[in-house]
Amino acid sequence: MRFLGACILVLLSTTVGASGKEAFKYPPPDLGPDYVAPHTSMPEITHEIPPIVDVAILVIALTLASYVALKKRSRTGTWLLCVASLAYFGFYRQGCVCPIGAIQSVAEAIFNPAAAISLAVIVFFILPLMFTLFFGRTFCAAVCPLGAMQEVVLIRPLRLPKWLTCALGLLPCVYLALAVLFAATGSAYVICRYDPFIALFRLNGPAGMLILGASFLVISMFVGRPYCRFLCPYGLLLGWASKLSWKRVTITPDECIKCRLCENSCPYGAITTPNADTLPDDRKIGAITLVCMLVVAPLAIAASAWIMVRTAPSMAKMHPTVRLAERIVREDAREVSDTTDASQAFRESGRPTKELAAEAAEIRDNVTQGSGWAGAFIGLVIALRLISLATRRTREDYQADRASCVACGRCYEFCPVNPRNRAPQDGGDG
Amino acid sequence: MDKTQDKLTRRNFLRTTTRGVCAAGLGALALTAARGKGVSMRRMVWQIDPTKCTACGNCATHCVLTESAVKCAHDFSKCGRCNFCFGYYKSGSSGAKSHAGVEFQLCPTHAFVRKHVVEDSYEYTIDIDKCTGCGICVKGCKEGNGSLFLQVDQDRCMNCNECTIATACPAQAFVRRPADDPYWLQQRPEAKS
Amino acid sequence: MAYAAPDNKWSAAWRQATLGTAVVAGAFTLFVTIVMARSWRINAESNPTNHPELAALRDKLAVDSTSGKIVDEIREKDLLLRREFFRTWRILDTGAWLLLVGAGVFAGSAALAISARKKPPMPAAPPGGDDLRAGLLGRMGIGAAAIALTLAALAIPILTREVSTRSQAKGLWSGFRGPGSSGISPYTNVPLTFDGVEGVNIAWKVVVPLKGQSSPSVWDNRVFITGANKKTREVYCFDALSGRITWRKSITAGPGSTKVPKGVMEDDTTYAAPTPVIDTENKRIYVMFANGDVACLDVFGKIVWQVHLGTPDNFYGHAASPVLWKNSLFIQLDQGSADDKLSALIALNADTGKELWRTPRPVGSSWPTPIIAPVASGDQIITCANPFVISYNPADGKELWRVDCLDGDGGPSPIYAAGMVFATNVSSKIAAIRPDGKGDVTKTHVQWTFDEDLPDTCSPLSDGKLVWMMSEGEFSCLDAKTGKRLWHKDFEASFYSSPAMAGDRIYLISRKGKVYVVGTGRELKELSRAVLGEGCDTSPAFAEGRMYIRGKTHLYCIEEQGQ
Repeated sequence: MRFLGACILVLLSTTVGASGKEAFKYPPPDLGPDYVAPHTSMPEITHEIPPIVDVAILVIALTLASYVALKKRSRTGTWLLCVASLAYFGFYRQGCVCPIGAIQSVAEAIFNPAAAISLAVIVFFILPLMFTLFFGRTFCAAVCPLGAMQEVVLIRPLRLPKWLTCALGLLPCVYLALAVLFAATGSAYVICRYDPFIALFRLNGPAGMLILGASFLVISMFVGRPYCRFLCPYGLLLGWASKLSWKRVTITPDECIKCRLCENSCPYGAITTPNADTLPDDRKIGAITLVCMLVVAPLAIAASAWIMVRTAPSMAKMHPTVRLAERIVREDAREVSDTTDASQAFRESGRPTKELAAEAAEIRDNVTQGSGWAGAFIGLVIALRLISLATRRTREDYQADRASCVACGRCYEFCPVNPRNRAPQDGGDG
Repeated sequence: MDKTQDKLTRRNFLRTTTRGVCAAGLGALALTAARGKGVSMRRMVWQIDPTKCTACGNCATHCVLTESAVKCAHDFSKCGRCNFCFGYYKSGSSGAKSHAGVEFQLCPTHAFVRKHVVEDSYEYTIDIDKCTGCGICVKGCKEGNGSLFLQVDQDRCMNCNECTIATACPAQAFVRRPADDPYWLQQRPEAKS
Repeated sequence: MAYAAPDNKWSAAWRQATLGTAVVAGAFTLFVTIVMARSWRINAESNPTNHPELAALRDKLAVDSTSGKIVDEIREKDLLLRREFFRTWRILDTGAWLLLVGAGVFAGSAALAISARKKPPMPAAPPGGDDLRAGLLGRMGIGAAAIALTLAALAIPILTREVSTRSQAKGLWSGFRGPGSSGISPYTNVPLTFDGVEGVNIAWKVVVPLKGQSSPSVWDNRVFITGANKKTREVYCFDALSGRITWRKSITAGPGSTKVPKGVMEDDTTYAAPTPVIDTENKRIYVMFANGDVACLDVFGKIVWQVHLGTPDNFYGHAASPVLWKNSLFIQLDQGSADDKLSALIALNADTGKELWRTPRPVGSSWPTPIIAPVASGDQIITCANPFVISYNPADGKELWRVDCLDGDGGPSPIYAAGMVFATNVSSKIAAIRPDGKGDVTKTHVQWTFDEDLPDTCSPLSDGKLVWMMSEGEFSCLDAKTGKRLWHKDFEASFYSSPAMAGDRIYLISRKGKVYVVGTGRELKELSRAVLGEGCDTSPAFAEGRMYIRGKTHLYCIEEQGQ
């Protein structure tokens, strides 16, 4: 295979060379036998980190994170690992490749088999999800550099009201749907493009992105992990995986004594309070609400799909080919007076306009179809959230919510049952 | 420990089963993503297709690196060794002497070096450390033989998941190539013999 | 990391230390941010590749490429800018790391300070397991978010809708002297006064990179013009609204056309004297240069075809503009002396550039642009060159008639008005010719002649009733029927630009850039004087409410400016 490729290359380059000679506007002069032309070259890759190393470090980090959070139950250990990940994946590797962005590469590879993708990217996408299925969101706790960035600057967490967390909690599913839509149609990688922290990792970037990153950091000082909770599309997937996890974070290593000390300890609002003692609410109202929500569910799905399909023509503009085709149409209709670099390049290339229009039409069709599915997905998530809010589950003691707990381990330090908190205190407050 | 966790309640059974299904699903997803022709064991790197490149100048300004990863390459087999090089002199430099300064040179960083060979022939080389990948010389040389072209210096490229230059490229000239054959050198070593 | 005992001396000191560190680190971070913001601004402003002052100097150098003074100025300015650019760049580079360290220390010490103050949690109210209320609040939140998202989704198409930017710039001036090569504008609402120096009624004024004597051609929002020097030939398309160059295309020398034409007067005729011709039907323009290169470009600047007609042997440089008729492009390529038998009228296929026919001409070098005269019996091409006015059939290039009435190396193009051809040259006479003859009609078809104050460069102008002509400053008005001079006035200036008429005004632009506006009546009426502010040898182009004038270095767009 390789040999064949080389042969074709040689053939190609010789024919190109032969036909090229004729086309020279300024034929290369004969500079005599003593003249040695320099060799055309570009720098070799010298400091490359092989993808296998990155994958190995990811596996080690995930294992360590799970061990420290679940077995050692150590907040300090989690915090240290978090800082280490921030240093390596964030500032050293400058945030690329990360599992969050890998969503898009995988989505594109699934929908377009010809898309170029490295195997390592697929592994980066799968591994944290697999770990979460077994150990909860330990990836978020100490491996993700974006999470780590927000974790280390969290100084004074404020509690957000329930309605606000529920409202903002919808954003990740919209973001995920759009990111997959744009990646699958080959339009753009929006997650990478609008990653708020990447400019900070690189210590460089456009002013807009730097300001966005800085504002996220400032918000992170008072609101726990705003990106993770209210935007991160990968966090949504991890939350779902975490609901099924084999092991999970438990606030207390033993029986909960319901001392209520941990109640306010979670900056992410992931601790659920027991409700077994309180009287069940009016069952009739609850039942009616549930029925209403079950009726609303299909409506929400249909409405959301319809809205997205309606927006599809605008979203198709994310694709450069669609933008170019529309621009060419406008220029040809003399609706605009100037040209763009892109339209100029297209006209120079001599490609027929019809071909471009056909390509753009196909992309537009794909986007429209994909928008429908993305809309249905968003509607489904909304419906499920509404239904789950209308159901009541009995909780015996203080627990970390499976989906929203990121295994940071802050609650461990507040639990008097935890032997670690009892032993070293010389006053002996336990 | 959470006592309910070990008990085989109905909910736990359901959870274990779903977990298994999900793990299997994830595996299937990975396999679907890995089935395509574009999948590579190696890293995939960004590169410029010089046949599409219009040397618009975005490479110098849109890279995430302060000094762009894009550099200029020179195909010496194509170079006409012109005295009045379109890639070296600004248009309208009829008053320029052979040792012109910033006022007549196109290259903003003096990375494009001119050396006299014989008579009216000059050799032009690129000092890659100074090159900013602005493509001004490439654009100039398009009027000549077109021996200059832009390439992503793989030793500098961060290999971002979404290349910011690629999104700004008006000619959609950025493509992914496997890391073991990262350059689109017009003059290939095989063809030299 | 547990709670600090409230009455511990050490813990109080620790708290103070962390708090102090946080304050100092915060102040430091703020300081670094301010320094960096300032450096960032200076860095952006001192980039030598796009600095306006440097660009202006470069424009100056493009006009006068041998000036050592400008070269020195550029070098000095460039050096200063570079120094500043890289100084601020270094500040930004180190600043980023300092900022990172400062912010890190601030976050760490602030977190420690706050945790040192933290008291054991004391939840106030008993756990309220009001799930119903929580569920209701949650549903309200989700509902609000869904509404907000819906509104956003509905707003996206409106926000991304592309508004047509096509605006008021309208007008067609498709070649040398506009419609019918008459110099008469169909647009009458052009400013009476303007001042290119003070910027009065100047919509914009931009440098044309390369020199040229070609006049602008206008098609709505596009203004085409050419420029060249010995080695480079360029076509420019300016955006009529902003004056920005939309595209510039270099016409590289094709095979055989690398020779630099001899005798071109670089500062007089220039290497780019022929005016571009616009083909609105096929959305193309045709350009020609002194080296004999003819090119066809689409309106986006892509070369459709390019031919080389041989290096013209013209002792001032080739100046006649191409002329478009149906699908033929005519080039009056007069060269050498009459005895050399080199001159010809050439017709090219406008689609391909292939030669359709070529008619040899019994004349030497000439400079007038031919015109298409829509005579009742059929269209004719009228050419002028010492000593003949010759008319050809544009379909096949057959000669229809000729008049022997010209003498001298002048450049005035003929005009056609009220069924008459008016042709003139500097050292002979102006002749009014009836274009319905056959063969040599010198004796039979010349209606009248007049032989005082004849133009040497400027073409005449006629509205069918009167004929105006500009010699070296002496502007005369003749009766078109009789050839009797009605009035004349000496403007005491030198003129190359052909007189142009818009409404009841005639614009006369002197070589020094003074503009005289006179009325079109049978009596002389001077309406106003305006100032271009730089030398001008080209003829103006008109559009809706606008006039485009190419000076020695700038292209001006003149338009009535609001208060």
